Amino acid sequence: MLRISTASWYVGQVNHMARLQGESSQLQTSIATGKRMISAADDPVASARADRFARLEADSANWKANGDVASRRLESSSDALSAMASDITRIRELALVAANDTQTPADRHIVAAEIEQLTDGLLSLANRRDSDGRYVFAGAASGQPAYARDGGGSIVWQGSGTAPLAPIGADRTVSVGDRGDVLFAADDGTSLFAAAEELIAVLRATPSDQAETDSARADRKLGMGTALDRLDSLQSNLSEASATQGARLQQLDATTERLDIDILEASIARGALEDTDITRAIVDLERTLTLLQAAQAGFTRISGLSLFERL
Amino acid sequence: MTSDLFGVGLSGLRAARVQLEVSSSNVANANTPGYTRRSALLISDAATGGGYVQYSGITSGSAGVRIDGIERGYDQFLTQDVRITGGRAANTDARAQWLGEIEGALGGREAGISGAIAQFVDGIERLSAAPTSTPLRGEVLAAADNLAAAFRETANRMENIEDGIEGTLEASVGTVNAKLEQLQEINRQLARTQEGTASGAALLDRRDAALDELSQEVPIHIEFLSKGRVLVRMSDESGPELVGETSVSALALGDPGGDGLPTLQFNANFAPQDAPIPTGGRIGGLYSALASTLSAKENLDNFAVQTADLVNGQHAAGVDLNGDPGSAIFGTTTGNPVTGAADIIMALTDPEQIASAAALLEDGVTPTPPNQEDNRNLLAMSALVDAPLTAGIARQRGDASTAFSAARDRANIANVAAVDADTTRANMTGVSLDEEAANLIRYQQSYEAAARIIATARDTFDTLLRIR
Repeated sequence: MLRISTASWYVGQVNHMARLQGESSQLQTSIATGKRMISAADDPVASARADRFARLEADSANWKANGDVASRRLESSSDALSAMASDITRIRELALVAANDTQTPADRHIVAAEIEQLTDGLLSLANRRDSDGRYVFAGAASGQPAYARDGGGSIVWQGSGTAPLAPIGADRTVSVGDRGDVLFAADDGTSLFAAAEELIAVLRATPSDQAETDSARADRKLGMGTALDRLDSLQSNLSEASATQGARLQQLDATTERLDIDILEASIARGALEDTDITRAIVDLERTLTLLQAAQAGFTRISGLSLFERL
Repeated sequence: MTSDLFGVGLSGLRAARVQLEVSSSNVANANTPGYTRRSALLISDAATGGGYVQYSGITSGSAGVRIDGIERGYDQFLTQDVRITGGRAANTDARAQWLGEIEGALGGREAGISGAIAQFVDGIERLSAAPTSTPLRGEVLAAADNLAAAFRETANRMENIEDGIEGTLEASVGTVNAKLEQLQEINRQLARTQEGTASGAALLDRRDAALDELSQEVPIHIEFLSKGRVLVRMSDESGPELVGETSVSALALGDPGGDGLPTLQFNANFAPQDAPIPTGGRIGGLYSALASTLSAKENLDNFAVQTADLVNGQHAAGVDLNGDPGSAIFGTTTGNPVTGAADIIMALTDPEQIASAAALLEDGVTPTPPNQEDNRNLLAMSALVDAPLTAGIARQRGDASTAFSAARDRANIANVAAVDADTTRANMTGVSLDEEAANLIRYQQSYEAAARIIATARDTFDTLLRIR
């Protein structure tokens, strides 16, 4: 027969009830915090895996932010490119009009002045800045204007390097800018601004108050031909660049969407590892509380039983 | 013959009264810690009665009763089990408690070094998209500063843990020495006390309580001498003698040895000698926790140096916004290279100093001019530095939480075993009030019955007198 020491019976009962109380308070904490684990030691393996998912979430959020920076720039440069394309179309129309032999030198001077104005507009478009204040066509030297006038008044590209490739995925980058000297060049390598400058020079070859000589006419026809060829190729290069920008933007949108899904999936996977299974926790809590109540009821009944009460 | 009856009755009265006394002290001490249930040991005693007398050819044996001593409810094996399991529980508890502190010091995912590294990695990744952005550079600088601070705080917490363990170790050694003194005094008193007396039983209770407490601190080997006196050695029968027949050997902590752990000396007051460090008991658990702390500290220091070297190395390969080579991001206040987690600081003063650009332009010849929006060094930093940093702290935290988790499981198991052993012994040696209540009734009845014997003797004697 098992002998039971009165004092140790009480200690045992207290321990038993304390354990149940501890269990119910732990369950209550996990329900209230929504976290299954209080520290990593509660489940080191799951916790290490959850850490990796958290890193993936943070990486994806960073890539998304980088995509936003790239998007802002691409939107600025894309706007500038389409505006420049229409300006170049206008210059080409003016050049076509000026090429007509019925035009007088004075007429051509007026056209030259208009082209000059359009060139100024093109300069400001080529020096387009994004919302962060960076010059989008300056390559890596985006802290200063992409184009400026040199000592002789010609507009030259003064950027350098390639715009940074921002990481937007584990093995994915997107360029956050362009080099104006590459985008705005005719097929023969002449820059947009040099071509415009030359065109203006051709138009102004004969002073406005003089008649055009035969040799001047021959030179002009030659010069206008070259200028129109260049404008043609510039027009097509720019529309190509504009289309590329559009495709890049679309790709960025798609990447952003995919990153959103990645973040959601990683956060669901992490939740499965470290979040409380509420239904189960509540059932467990009910069970523990029932046991505790039973233990308490048993304790008061049994502790009331003493032979001394009956002496 | 009648006088025999008086003698027998009287002996019964005496015995029942002693039994009632013993039982009532059991009731009174039902909740006294360390008290073991006592019972009066009865022996039939011919001497109190008339002895065996040949009378009319019939052998009449009237024997009285005598108290042979006070017996304690003691079981050597259960007691030994209590000490072994109790020592193991104290050992694993101490280890688990401090390993939990180490885990806490290394922080969670978002707090401490881990969170600071994540912030630094995030900063670098985001700066890659806009390498010249002043706000983003400021974030990287703040993250690096935060990382250095996290290293220093963690080192500080580790230092506190080390101090805490050493303090607890001192206290534990103090408890051991107090118990040794106490045992020596109990031995001395036991030598002067008669066995089987109530005061002897009380001394043995105190002796067992002292041995119980001592075995929580260090594993002990006990040799029993006459009259319940004990010889105590540390660890096992060949270990240093702590309580001898005439003297005790106090313990003390000596200066740290090559492993950084303080030595444990015995015979500390006379001729201190290094004892083998016990693996069991609280002291063993504290030594083990201290070794874990020292190794965690070393790993943390190495990791701080590795972090500084990796980050500074890659940073130096690039150029900052002024076109200067990247200067060390992590350093010390003295300007010397980082040697540990405690002295690491963030050494840059200006966001422009972050060397985001590669040293040469894409052509591989031209030095990169100032203010270049170039993220190639940041990308290299992300590729070369992020993974080892993230993995490094993950490994340290993983090791710490796995060790803590295992230690806590062991402690839980050891505690269950200790409670079981304690309950088993308590049920054997403790007081059961129901049992004592029943005994009180029994002894009272014995008392009344013995009184009846005396009354019967008187009646018998009166009858005889009336015949005359």
